[in-house]
Amino acid sequence: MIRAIIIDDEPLACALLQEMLAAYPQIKIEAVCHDGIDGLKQIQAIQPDFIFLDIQMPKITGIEMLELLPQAPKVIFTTAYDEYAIKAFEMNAVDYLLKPYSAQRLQVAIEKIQKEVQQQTNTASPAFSNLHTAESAARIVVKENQVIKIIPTADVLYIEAASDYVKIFTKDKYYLKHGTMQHFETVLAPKQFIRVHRSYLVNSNFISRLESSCVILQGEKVVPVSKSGYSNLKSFLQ
Amino acid sequence: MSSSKHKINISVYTNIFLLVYLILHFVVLYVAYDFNVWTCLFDTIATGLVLFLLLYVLRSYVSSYFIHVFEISKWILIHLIVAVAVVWVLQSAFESYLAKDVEFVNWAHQMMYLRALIIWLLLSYFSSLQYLTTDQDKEKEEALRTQHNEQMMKEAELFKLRQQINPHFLFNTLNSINALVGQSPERARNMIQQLSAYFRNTLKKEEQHWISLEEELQDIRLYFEIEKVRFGHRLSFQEHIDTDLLEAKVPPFLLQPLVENAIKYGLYGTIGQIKIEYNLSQNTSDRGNRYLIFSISNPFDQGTPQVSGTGFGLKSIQRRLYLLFGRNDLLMTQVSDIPDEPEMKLFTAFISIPYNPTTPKISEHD
Repeated sequence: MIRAIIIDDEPLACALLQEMLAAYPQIKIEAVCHDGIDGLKQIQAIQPDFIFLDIQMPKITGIEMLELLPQAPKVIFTTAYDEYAIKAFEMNAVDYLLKPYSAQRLQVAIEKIQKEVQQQTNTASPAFSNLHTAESAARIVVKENQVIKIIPTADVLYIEAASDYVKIFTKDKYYLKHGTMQHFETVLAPKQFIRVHRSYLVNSNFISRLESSCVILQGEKVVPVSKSGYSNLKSFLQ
Repeated sequence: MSSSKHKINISVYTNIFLLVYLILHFVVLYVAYDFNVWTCLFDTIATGLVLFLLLYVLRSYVSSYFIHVFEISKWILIHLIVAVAVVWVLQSAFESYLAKDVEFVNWAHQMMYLRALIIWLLLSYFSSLQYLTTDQDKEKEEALRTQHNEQMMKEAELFKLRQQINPHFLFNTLNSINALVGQSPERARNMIQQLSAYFRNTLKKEEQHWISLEEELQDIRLYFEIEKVRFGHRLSFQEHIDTDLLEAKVPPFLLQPLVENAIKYGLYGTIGQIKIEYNLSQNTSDRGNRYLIFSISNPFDQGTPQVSGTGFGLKSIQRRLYLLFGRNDLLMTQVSDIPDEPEMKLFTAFISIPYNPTTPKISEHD
């Protein structure tokens, strides 16, 4: 028995998928969710073998939801049209179904997932974090005490590396999120965020002044600057 | 910069030209006709004063604005009248101040026609120079403007295309139909008909510059009906229409993107139920201009910063409005509170379309 969850904001799309899955008694749908926040809860409660996931959904996208999971489950994306999802498929997804998809196409996806589940290949990486989406440049989704927060990138002062995590500093506080500095450096607008140090990425809109070995942000926050970071900053400021 | 330089050259050139003419004038009077030197000076200075005065008037008041009010033939006539008047004034001056020099006064009287002809030619020459230079400036400006317009049109064209073939909408709708075929064939059939009608109207609209509001509203309702099948559990809509306006003409693809925008940001901006409300009314400004006002509002969750997409959609509409009406103030947005729901806000977009009930066609070739 393979346990799955369907996450899609259109009830008809969910109904269709369930109907088509009736041909596969070995797959059991444990839950149907209509948004990423509910999806996140169900994934953590049910621990399914895999999920069907739409991308455009209310509040947070399917990809943002995956980013919030310490370990991403196996995913079959089901979406109508999304250039980012193609990337998603290339990188991590088990399969990628373009709506409307045929029963034959679904069968291919199911066979792939069965293989993966039976072999117990634990290739599920924390790794949906290299996706560039329009959303990822504009906002960062974090989870804090089971509450999901969406931070506009414009509000981020700087980002600090902390082993597998990063600390995302806003005016009042910081949030922890899984991810690497490289990821944030590539995803966030390069004209706005500058790598000033191996462990620091600074929002240039908040820079108030530059000193020899550090940069002072608004609110007198001091961020260290490395040699290469200093030249990055200088070429940016000129 | 270059055009002002041009103008300075022209004015220096005309001044020198005039001075040379006056010197010649003096020399001819003094040497060829052998008049008294003071008489010659009086004539030359009087003529010079009048001509410089006319040139000044021509340059500063006539050049920039009036020169294009009349046609060239009219200007020639006006110059002739002015020249005759000038000669008449000069002759009266000679008769009252140089009365003693009878020989000169009589000679001047005989020469009135020739003098008028010379002044007329001079005036025509100067104003045609002026005419040509302002015309060149105007042409340059015009060329820049058309170039700019063409670029804007291209962008609008692109935007239109993007609107018509919204792949997200099409494929998701097809997927819903796919689901309905098994569950409820009757509803599937209905949705296929609605989708066909919507796309047929969209294709038809492409060829028209103005469509009636009634047609546009029908498409908006069709669009809502289709979206309701997809999101029926969450989406509802309400309309308030001033039925007097149904015959009014509006540019196509102007209201529709606002509706798409409201649905998109309503649906993706929150998890709960959303109600989209739109209004159509008319308004007369202080200056007496009439406008159709279309407004549409959607709720959204304050805690969900949206992708800059909102801005883009509305910016394109604003650009289109500018292309059509040459104004940037016809689209406005507003964020307001929703009573009893502190987490939620209401986003409203207002679009004003200049509207003249008697002649709805502003331009057929936009």
